[in-house]
Amino acid sequence: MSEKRPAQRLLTITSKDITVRFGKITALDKFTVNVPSGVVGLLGPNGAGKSTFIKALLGLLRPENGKMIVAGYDPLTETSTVRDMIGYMPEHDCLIEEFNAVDLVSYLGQISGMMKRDAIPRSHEVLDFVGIGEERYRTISSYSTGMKQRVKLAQAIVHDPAILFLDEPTNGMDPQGREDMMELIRKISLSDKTILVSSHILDDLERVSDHIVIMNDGRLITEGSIDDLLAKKDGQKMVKVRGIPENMETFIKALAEMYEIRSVVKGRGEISAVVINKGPGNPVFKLSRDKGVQLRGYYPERATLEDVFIGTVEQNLDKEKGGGPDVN
Amino acid sequence: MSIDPITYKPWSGERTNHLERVWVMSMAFFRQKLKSKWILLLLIIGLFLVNIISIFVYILPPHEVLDGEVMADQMGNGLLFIFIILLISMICSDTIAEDLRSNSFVLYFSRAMKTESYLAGKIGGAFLTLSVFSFFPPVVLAIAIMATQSSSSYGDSLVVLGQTVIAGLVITFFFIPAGLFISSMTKRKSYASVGTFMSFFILMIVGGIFSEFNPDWELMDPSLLFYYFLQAIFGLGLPNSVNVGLLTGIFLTVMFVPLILVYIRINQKAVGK
Ligand SMILES: Nc1ncnc2c1ncn2[C@@H]1O[C@H](COP(=O)(O)OP(=O)(O)O)[C@@H](O)[C@H]1O
Ligand SMILES: [Mg+2]
Repeated sequence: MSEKRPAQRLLTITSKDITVRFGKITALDKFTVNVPSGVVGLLGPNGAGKSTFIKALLGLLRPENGKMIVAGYDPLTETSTVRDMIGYMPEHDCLIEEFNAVDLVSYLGQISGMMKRDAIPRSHEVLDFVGIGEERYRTISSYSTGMKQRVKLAQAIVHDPAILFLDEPTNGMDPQGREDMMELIRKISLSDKTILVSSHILDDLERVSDHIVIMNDGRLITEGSIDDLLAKKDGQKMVKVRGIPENMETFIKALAEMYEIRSVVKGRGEISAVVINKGPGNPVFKLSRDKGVQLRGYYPERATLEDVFIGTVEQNLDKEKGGGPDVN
Repeated sequence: MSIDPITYKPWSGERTNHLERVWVMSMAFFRQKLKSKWILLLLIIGLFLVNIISIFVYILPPHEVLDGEVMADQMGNGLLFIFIILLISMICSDTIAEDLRSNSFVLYFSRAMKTESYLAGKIGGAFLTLSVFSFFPPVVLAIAIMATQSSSSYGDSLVVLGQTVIAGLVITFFFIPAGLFISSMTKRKSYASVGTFMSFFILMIVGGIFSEFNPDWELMDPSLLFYYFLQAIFGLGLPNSVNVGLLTGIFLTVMFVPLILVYIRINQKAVGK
């Protein structure tokens, strides 16, 4: 990892023992995390408490207890200072629909303290950036979900804040739109910011995040750099074979005696299995010849955040039960 | 479109102070309202009906000074009152209802904007819009009457001009909090609009009916509140039947209690959502 300059280190976010309750629901349960600068993915299923955490950091919610520090300031007592440094893209619809995009973005830029003569050219610049073309002169009520998401991003970056909170930025977008959105975030990240991106979609975060925070039920599950989290799946290999069904069955049985098998997927005339093999692949090749099946593929199975997520949730469940298997 | 990907460009410039941002909000509100053809139409008709006659009655005939009674009459005019109510219903209806419906509160409150600044921005915008009808015209009229007066002593006229300015500010502001409050109670601007208009109407009727039994009830009638306020500010004296303490109390209640209620309502809705 490259050395962080002091100016960058200041942009970190920490929370300690934050608890937020809505009636009987505990949305954040002594949530403790340190968010470094760079792009940080906040990952968790719906209802995990991601949006609640972001709102607490903005000073929109007052936690029952705990402490938060955003770039060296307390969002509960130094709210205006903190908010002037932040750009926030809310999860749900929030745009003022009778405005057109240029007017809205430059208006909100001014509400963030830009002068009009700066805000107007800047709003054109950010709308170019997010990919809103001539439609910017139409009222927002006529926009598609994808376009609204882009305008929501534009209003969050118009004043070029040092910190960005993007709450489910790909919400409601099609696959191409999601990819575009993550690419925009990656481009923004080149300008030394702290960007907290929440999502329940693992693929989205995997591509852009330097660091991932995984949460569930208002609690931290695990966190770390992408590389660290994905390394946990070392040694997993995908094995794909074709052949007569009986041969394939015996092949898989024999394979299971040699290696730990994670999963088996049976297709039409083809079987795929994920095995743990940290050694060389020769025994697998030999086995396939011996059993008369055609080896169509043998390659390292790339771990996904999904695996990490499922893995850690299971580990935590096991720990709670008290008698889980040993965790390496 | 070029293939060349557009890169993110940072921006560094000065930020304005928080007070200027309230002004930005008010001006944006004002411009938005003037784009509404119904409000524009109402403003034009109102300006014409309320002022055209005054030109012939007050400015053209010979007059010695600017008289407080003339201004009290002009501003206490029933037609002016009705147009204020209509305009308030239209101007205030969507101010908060619309932000509630579209959830755009969060765009303000995630920025360095406090509830009171937000409210001040909305009130400022409503005030600017309504002042086109109920503040500037009376003041201009007063200046015009002064400019055409035959007496060469201007002292008394200046006092009346000052009273006109204060009266103009108060009658313009007076119903805005109530309008905002009703707007904050619903997500439908049409409900807010009709609700505002009906509330005034019902209060007038209730005041009228119950004042038969006890004269204090007439103070429920907003148009009478207006009338008595103008009598007082232009130093013309109030009828003996008027309970001055009660009048002052109701007057202040109408102006300020809705403000507190809107404040609470916004905090409840906007913060923690
Ligand atoms: N305003 C609210 N009132 C009541 N419950 C809420 C409110 N906001 C969130 N919750 C609850 O808190 C939990 C966490 O919600 P949220 O932070 O929105 O999760 P996420 O963003 O990860 O999907 C959920 O169980 C949700 O139902
Ligand atoms: Mg959420």
